[in-house]
Amino acid sequence: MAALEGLTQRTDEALADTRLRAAVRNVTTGMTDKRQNALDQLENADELRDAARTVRAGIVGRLPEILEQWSDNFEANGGTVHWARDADEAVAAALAITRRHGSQRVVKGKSMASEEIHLNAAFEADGLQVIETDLGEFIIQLAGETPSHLIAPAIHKDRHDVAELFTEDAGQPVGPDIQDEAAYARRRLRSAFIAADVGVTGVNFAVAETGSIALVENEGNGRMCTSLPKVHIAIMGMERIVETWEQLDLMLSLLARSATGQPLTVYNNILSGPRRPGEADGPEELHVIVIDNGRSNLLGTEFVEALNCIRCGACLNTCPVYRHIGGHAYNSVYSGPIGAVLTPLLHPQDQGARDLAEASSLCGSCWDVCPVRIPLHDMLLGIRRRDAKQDAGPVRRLGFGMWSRLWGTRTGFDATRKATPAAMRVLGDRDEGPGWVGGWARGRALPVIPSQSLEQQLRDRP
Amino acid sequence: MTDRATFLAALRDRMREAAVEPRIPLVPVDGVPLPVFVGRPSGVDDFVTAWQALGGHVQRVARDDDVAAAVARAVDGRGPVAIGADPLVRHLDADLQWPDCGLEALGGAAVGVVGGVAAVAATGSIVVDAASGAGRSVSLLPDVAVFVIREDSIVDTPSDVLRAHRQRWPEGPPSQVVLVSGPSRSADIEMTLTVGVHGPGEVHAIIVA
Repeated sequence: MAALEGLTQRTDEALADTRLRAAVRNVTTGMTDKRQNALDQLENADELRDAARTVRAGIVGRLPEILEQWSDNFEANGGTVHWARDADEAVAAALAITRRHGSQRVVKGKSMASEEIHLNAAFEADGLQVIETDLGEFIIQLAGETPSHLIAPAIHKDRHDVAELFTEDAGQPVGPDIQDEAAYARRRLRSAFIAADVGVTGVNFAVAETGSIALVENEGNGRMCTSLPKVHIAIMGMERIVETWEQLDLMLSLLARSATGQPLTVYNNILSGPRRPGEADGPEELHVIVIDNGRSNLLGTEFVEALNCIRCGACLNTCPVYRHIGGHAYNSVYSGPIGAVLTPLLHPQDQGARDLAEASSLCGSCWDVCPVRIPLHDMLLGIRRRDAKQDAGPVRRLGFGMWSRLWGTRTGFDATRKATPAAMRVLGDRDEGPGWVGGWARGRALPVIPSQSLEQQLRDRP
Repeated sequence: MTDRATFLAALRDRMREAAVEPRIPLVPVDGVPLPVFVGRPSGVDDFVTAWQALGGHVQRVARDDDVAAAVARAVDGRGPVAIGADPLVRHLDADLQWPDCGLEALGGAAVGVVGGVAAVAATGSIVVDAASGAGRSVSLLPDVAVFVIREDSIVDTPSDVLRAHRQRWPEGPPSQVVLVSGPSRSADIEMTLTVGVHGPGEVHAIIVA
């Protein structure tokens, strides 16, 4: 129980922050409505989601072959692939590229994989200037914070927070007007794009059959990062891949709809290698760093479907826990239901990460909205089951063992049933007790058990 | 650093045992189903509706010779105007010709004009292909982007672009293909829509019959 303290404390802090709660409520409610409207524009959204689940499962089931095919084709297109087992290897691969070029300025598009490997800190420690260019990411970079939502990283900030940050950055007043704030970001970041020598992005989907990578975005910063600097480095989770453009079509038809409620994002970039002879512009080098970083822990286990995730954030928006506490209370790169599943699986040694599986009411709403129908609620229960087995001490083992044996026999079950009404009368609806018993009892009422069981009533029926 | 063989061997190692059957069974699929749009949008009129709904401007012209005047109306006296090197627009008069003008000059352009290789009626998207000569930057850096497209290049849905990639690019796709659906937008602050955050905030489609 003691281990849950961190999570409980962060939850309490988030619940006490009324401004945060209003901001999170505003965003999650808006996104949930938009998602539904967007899916309703398709006649066969549910059929597509079933198919997307099966297709993703098939891909993850043949991941090594598909990665091989993709990397052969990607390198034939002139790109370079780097393979990183963990965050350190991924960072080392990125730094080897920037050092070889003597790079000084990095512009970054939004990438959760780069958050996972803490790339910004590594670049800065190596003397590079790193600028996040997605509006939300730029805001939280100025604030020195981490993303609190998969696709809307700064949802915990309102216009007044942003005005304060931009005023400090500008050295002159920027008012709390959202249009003015966006205009400031455009001016401020434009020179960074032109001056940058490296662009860093994530990858939404690699496409094996043509050796491509697809990147979806709304602002145009992704296009800038992949078009203007001489070198483009993309960080890719190893499972972010499809085999064919048919599958890409299917995934794109669901991704933006589930994420922002758009049929497609404003820019769907499909990149197949660096600039070619005869093309007007584009990077001279294109590198993809494929990261494992704990993902292979899921292969061959009951949790493998978590690798099917396409990172839309719909499960965050619908989750009653996320909607109350926002992303930061999870204290992990990935928050919400998918974060509560992924984080403990990617980092099995991290006790704090294991507690995240408790941050759920198991209502199943995440499963209901998932575009690839990952049974997230079932997995949260699975993680709890696994941890409970691992963590059970001798007392608990003995207790549950005896219970199991008692109820394994008819006489044992009947005996407890007969004793229950009397026991209930003694326990009543107490509101206190020692330690966690009291914590549990507070606000809960035990049911009144009738003295006659249903079975007995049926037997006595004339 | 890990090489590919070692990286993939670790995955295969984990996958050696029989896969765990999902507790909730998978729905078998035959191929990859096509997304079906309510109302089956199709053709130039539906493209115009979708593009305008996203905030885009439209002009329809009858002949190639009318494109210059339509571009001038979209430009509306602003400048400098930069132009791509693709066949639909390269003959037009402009202040700056990309890529010869260089990035600094393009950064100062007010309007960028390029040709699109296709458009999508259902989603109001225009397909720009780096190999066509349009390049990546002309339709990206200036505040205003003008796309010239042919009416007969309008397809029904994104699937008609993506699934037909081999017909369109038999030698493999160019280094960049981008589907542009309206002006650059962000809702990162309080979910409030702002346009023109990084890419163009004003977009025009000129459709040649």
